[in-house]
Amino acid sequence: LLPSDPVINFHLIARPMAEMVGGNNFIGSWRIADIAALVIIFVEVSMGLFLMESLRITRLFPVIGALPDKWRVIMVWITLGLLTSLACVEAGLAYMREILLQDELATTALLRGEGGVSYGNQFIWITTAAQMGMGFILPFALTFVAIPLESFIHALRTVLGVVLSGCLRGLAAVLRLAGDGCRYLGRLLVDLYDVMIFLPLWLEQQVKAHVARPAQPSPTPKGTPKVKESLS
Amino acid sequence: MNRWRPIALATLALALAGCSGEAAPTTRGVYLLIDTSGTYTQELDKAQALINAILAKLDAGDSFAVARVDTGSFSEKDIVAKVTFDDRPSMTNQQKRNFREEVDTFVKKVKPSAFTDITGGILQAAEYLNEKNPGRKTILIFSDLKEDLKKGYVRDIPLTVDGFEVVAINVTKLRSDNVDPREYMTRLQDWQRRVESGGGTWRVVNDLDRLERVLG
Repeated sequence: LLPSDPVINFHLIARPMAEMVGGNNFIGSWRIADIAALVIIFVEVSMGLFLMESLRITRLFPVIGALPDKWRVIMVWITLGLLTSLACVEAGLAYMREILLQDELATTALLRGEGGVSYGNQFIWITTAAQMGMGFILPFALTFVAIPLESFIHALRTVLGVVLSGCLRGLAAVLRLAGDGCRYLGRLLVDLYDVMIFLPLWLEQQVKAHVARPAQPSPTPKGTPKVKESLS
Repeated sequence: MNRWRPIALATLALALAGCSGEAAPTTRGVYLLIDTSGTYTQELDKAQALINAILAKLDAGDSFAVARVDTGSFSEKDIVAKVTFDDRPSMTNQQKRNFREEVDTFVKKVKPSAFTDITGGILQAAEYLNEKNPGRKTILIFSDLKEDLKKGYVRDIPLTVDGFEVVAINVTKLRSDNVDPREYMTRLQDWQRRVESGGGTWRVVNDLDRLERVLG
């Protein structure tokens, strides 16, 4: 449930934020109204975190826990005050959201030629009150994010170690596989080369053998003995 | 201090990554020319529906103007209503309601004009939209596209609509078109040639049942 809390919170205040900071201003591809809504939520989370630390429910920041009790209580009241102020702001924004929504619906109806149709009814205050209530309560609910956050941070070291170890094992397996692949590929290439080079080498050997064979003596010419005889 | 440095660096990197993302959505500028000549004034109720559909589709930061096409349309006086929507949603809604009222008043009081200067209207539209400089420029022409100029008015000039999307809407067939449909086709082709030679894109939308498609 905790991750959905900031999401609902965001949707409650993002639309009316456009009324305050403009709905058509962007930083990169991010609407400034959305960024402003996120900033409010992050401030609420950090206030909740400090409140939990001051109450010694969580111990993420030992410095806060080690403060003298007097200072710690002061810190509790300050963070609680800021959190209440932000909750009031959110409740106001939630109320404004409902007004804007009704205004937009009325304008759309008018443009469609449904001027007589009223989207509001006598029970509309219920949704308005519900939204305002949610806008007020959700910031306080966000403070409890600190508890799972603490567990998360404590577990993070182990989890990161396990994940890193798993990644390294995976990498080692991949590299081993690649190494074996390269080795066998090399052998295969040598064998293929042997297959191809066999015929040229055999031919070369045959040619060399043929060239190196000693020549046979030629038969004696017929007239030679006669010459020899006449000379003698 | 060193403990927090990686977190600060990660936050800074995240912020820079956010800034270097794709460009923000651009604004849109729409200029609607309404033919008020002769019998075409009977089509004005359709133009009202079209304007309402456009108003519903436009958003904060967009610009919209409605102008009439009459004897000499190259004039600011022919702009019936114009608006650039505020950044705040509540103001945008209010502006839309006011715009609708202005158009309603115009439709009730409009008198048919003797001549039809569409070219002048397009030139005025291009000037208006270039001044507003939105990300996307659209000129809508609600007319039968039959230009009828008063003697002495010079309009055989090239249109400069580079980067504009020109959409002809509800191009009704005239009686003479029914006799010889080639007239209608030639008329459309001539306007397409003029717009495209000026660097713009041309589209014809005659089906007003799907008005939301007019703006693409």
